[in-house]
Amino acid sequence: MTDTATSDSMVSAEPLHRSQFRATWRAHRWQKARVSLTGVLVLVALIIFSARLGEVDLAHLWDRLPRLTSYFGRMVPNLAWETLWVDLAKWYWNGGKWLASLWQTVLIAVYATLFGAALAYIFSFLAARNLTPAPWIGIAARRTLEFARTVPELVFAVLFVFAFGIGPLAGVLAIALHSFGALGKLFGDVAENANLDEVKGVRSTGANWWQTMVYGATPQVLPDYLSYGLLRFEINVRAASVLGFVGAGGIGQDLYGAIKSFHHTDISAIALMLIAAVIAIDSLCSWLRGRVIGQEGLRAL
Amino acid sequence: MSHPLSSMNTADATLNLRGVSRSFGNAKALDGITLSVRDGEMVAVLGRSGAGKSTLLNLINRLIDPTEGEIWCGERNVSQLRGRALLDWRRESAMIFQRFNLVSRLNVITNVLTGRLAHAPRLPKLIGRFTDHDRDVAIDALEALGMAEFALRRADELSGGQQQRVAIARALVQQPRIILADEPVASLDPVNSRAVMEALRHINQHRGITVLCNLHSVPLAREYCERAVALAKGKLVYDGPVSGLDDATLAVIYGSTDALAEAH
Repeated sequence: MTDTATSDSMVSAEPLHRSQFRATWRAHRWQKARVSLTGVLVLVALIIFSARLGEVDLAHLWDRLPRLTSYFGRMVPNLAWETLWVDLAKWYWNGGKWLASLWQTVLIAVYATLFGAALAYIFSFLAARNLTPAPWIGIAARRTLEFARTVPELVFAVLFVFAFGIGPLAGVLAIALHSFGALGKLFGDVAENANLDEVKGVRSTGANWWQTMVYGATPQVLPDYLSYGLLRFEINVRAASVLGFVGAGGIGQDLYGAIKSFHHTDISAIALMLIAAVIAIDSLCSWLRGRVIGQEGLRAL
Repeated sequence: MSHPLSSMNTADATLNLRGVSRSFGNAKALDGITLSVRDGEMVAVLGRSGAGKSTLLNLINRLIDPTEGEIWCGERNVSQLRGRALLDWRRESAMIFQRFNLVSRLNVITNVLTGRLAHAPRLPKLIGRFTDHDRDVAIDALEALGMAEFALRRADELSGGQQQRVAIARALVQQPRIILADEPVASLDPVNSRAVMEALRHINQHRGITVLCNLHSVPLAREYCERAVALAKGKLVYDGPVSGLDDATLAVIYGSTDALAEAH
């Protein structure tokens, strides 16, 4: 084929392969459109179906919306500029008690995170496929962790309140157990990325399995473990504030009491304290985590 | 020092491998190795990459288990050891690795102290409580290798040659009967290579510790060892004095003259 032949065909008639491809292309487009259309139809059908199933009624939602705003309206305290301090004092009439409850909430989160993380630390090495002493131990450990994190804190809390009575102990145990499952999984994933050369170096000395984990694996994984632990602490503070609803101690119990007895301004007072505390702890933790991740000089042992 | 050759009497040999094989899946990394090493020998283990040298040392330390055959040390069937006895054997057969295998985030002295984990009491060491004696032994070993001044530096701050000397110190404080060095100089420049080989020879001659040393370099083997053992495709193809490593033998070990050129 020469240059002249090519340019000739371009002038006179379109080359055959182009028209052929155009047909293929159209068929391809149509095929894709049909697939997308089917997908959209299925999605719409599913949305309608699930709305029916979930009793979502837009008209009802619109009708009752004022109730929500009026609820919020009732939560707003009477604050006048001239009598601001008196009004504030009235709003936070039970401030001392609430502060104590808030403190209890934070402590529940602290203890639950510590217990959960300690157990998760041990289980992470058992569960990590590259470090586990035996495959069956790894499987058992992973199943245990899965169970612990699949069951929500609230369910554990109900169980523990039933067993140990109303109070913070049930909250600590519930959150600790769930944290153990969640952290164990994250820790285990970190441990699976550990440098095995270093582990092998320690193992070759005749160190036993626990010693090998402490000296060969822990120094490598410690910064990540700390970072995940702090993240979990943030989450646990929020979880601890809700668990009071089922009697597991902390500020949630006061909040639930206020809601139940229609003390509307109490609800807003407690909620604001809670939000402030959660924001403060979140920022503190993210700052700490940034430090941990950034700090290369972290020395273990 | 005696010159134990392949014809030696195996009865009084310390370390005996009897028909040892090891497979990974379908691949046979080691195939029927029978070998005796007497106390106090310094033996070079030669062979191409993938010939099974590392597998051999890992088997002796029992980091991996043989699929066939037995490993004996004196009256002990090493390949059958379990539990505490196995951990004690690992302590006795200290390893040195090509990539040093120090724990990078631990300081030098703690890395050396990991060599004391298998000495009683084990439990307090789990929370970092080593004995004064452990620390004395560790700093002595570092001093002997000229590394005492780096005791509190992090392991990954050191150069390769320095890290390997720390690794040797870790092996020494195990108070081993035998040192298994897996390509100890392959990651090092010539000057550091010589320093490390000198250290191994010194340990062999002055402390009477048996040394089994995987080497890439035939000249280093000739210079530092009396006896050489060679592997090719998992089989033992030479066992004798380094002086016996003539061109014909090397051609068998390294397969081709090209590969042979690499070894020089």
